[in-house]
Amino acid sequence: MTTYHQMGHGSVGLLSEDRLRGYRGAILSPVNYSEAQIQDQIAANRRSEFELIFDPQLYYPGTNRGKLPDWSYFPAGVETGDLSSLAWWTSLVGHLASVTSRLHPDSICSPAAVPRVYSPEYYDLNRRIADSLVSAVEGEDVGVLQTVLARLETLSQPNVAAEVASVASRCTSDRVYLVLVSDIGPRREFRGTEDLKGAMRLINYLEAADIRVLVAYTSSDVILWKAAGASECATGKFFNLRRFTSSRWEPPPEGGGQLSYWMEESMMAFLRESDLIRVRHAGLLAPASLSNPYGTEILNSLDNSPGESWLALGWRQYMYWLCDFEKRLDSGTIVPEDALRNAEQVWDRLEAPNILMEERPNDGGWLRPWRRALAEALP
Amino acid sequence: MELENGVAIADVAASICSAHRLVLGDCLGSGAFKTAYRANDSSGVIYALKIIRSNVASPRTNREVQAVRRCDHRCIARLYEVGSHPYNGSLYEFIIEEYIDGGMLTSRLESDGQLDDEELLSLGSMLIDALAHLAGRDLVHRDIKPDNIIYRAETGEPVLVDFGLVRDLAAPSLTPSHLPRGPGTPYFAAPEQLNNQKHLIDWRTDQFSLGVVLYFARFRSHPYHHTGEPIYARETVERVAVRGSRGETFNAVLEESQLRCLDKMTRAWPIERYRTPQRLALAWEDQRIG
Repeated sequence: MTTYHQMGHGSVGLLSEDRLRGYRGAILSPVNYSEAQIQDQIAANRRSEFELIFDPQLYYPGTNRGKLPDWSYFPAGVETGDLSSLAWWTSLVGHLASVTSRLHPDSICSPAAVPRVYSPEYYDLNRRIADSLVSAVEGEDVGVLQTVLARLETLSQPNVAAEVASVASRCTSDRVYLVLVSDIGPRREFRGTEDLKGAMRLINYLEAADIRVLVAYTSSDVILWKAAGASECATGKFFNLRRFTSSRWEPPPEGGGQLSYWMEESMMAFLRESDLIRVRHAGLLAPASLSNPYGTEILNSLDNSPGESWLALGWRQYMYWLCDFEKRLDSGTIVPEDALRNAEQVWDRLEAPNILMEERPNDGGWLRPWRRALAEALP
Repeated sequence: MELENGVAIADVAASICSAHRLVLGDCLGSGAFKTAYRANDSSGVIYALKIIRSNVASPRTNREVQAVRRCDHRCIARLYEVGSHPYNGSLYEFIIEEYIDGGMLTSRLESDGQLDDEELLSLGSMLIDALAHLAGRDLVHRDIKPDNIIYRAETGEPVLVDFGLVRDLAAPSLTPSHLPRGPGTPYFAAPEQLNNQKHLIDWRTDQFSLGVVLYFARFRSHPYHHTGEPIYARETVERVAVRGSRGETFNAVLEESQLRCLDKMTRAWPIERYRTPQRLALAWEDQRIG
């Protein structure tokens, strides 16, 4: 069990769902909840071999998002504060340690802000912030994960992964919470081969130094991070709508509801309802999709109650899949290279009968960069 | 005769010895930052008296003194006294430290040629322990080289000397960021030193230098030395700086010896080396088992 549930708005109920019990832990977010509510969540979900990690979510300290400003560690006067100063962060870490002491999660991520420039000095500052958090919570029996925010496209530059890993590995904490920052649109897959190779190398360097990496905000790209050696990955029900981009912290656009999506392993793709119906009809759904209990419910619903929304089942179908998929990756049942090659072949088979996905960019075109990244990233 | 501001350094040394009831001995050597003399007291105990050049005194000297005072390790020279001595209208800073009398590693290599695996395992083991001691105090020596490793005559233990370039990671750096190259002896320096990448300097920087020293002591070559180059080739240092490839024979040479750890110790990026001194120490001892 190495999958973590990245908590979002209204997803707390999923933690206690029996069929999603395969998760290793949950990453709690203060954005939509008060301290008292998070305290309740911790109390309700504390159980053995289930890790509750608190992420302070200070990626954009100037953003008054959700309930974040109500938290006692949320900084005042960000506009005039020197965010490049360790002293500024150390003071914040002190407040965060007090909150940690009251909440008592199993672990906490160090606070980190998304910078304008991803310089070595920035990574070194984040490393020092994490070290100061380790000191601040000493004796609390709370683990610390060093948050490493890495912009995906900067990782494509030669040696950046080695440099970032060298700096991050100076931290006294043996765990990294890796957030890959990008500008990618909702539901789209990363397609930059060199970016992906850089990210995979970063993970691999850290893991080779016995630093456990938890990759946050993952999706089907989990296959790459696990192949690079990542110990753990986290995902949430909203992963397929929004990844870690700056837009994630902006208010959602007006109008329009959420659509239901189905995660299809045979194509390593998210399908809309009409896509699902046609791919199913072509007999190309993966065995894992057909045995996914939530998938079965969705298919039954399509057969018996056509037109009925299956949005909530879609979240669960995806979350069940990711946990199960990661388990199979860990056990070696799935060989990443084979899985991606097979997926590309399934997309090829869809070409002749002209089975096209509803969303134009949903064309499987990311599989080639992924396969290249797998083949080239690591020695 | 060595002069400092027109004054013979030997005269300054004699004056300091006189003030401290010591008898001045011969000059032990002179470097970029200081000149060292032998001195002994009335009971026959021998000390090393180091006089700091006036233009480099203060911040670096203070850093060195503070660093060594925090150390208490059999492989790190002991510091007895630090002070300023007025002479001829000027103030001279000086250090009186333990005199180590077994000769430098450099001299041993000149006389014996090279160390065998067993000697190297023992030397490495003790110096790794010294690095662990320094790392535990957030100190980076930054100038580990055969000249700065002196043996104790009575026990044969190696002692790390000359902390003139020591970096205290808990204190602000004294090296200007705009310099293309950080301080240290280039031939034994890590890539991050050669590139003045201050954010990458930590105990793993010393690990690299120690790896080069040990490889040099065993094989009389540098891990990044390529066939056909002179032994101290500038190209070798440049290759380290650009994080180029190690020598063609490096892997084969290591495979024939017991010294597998030297591979990881001398890798180009800190992340590729041993993360903690404890892990290095364990791996180093494992080499004895084979």
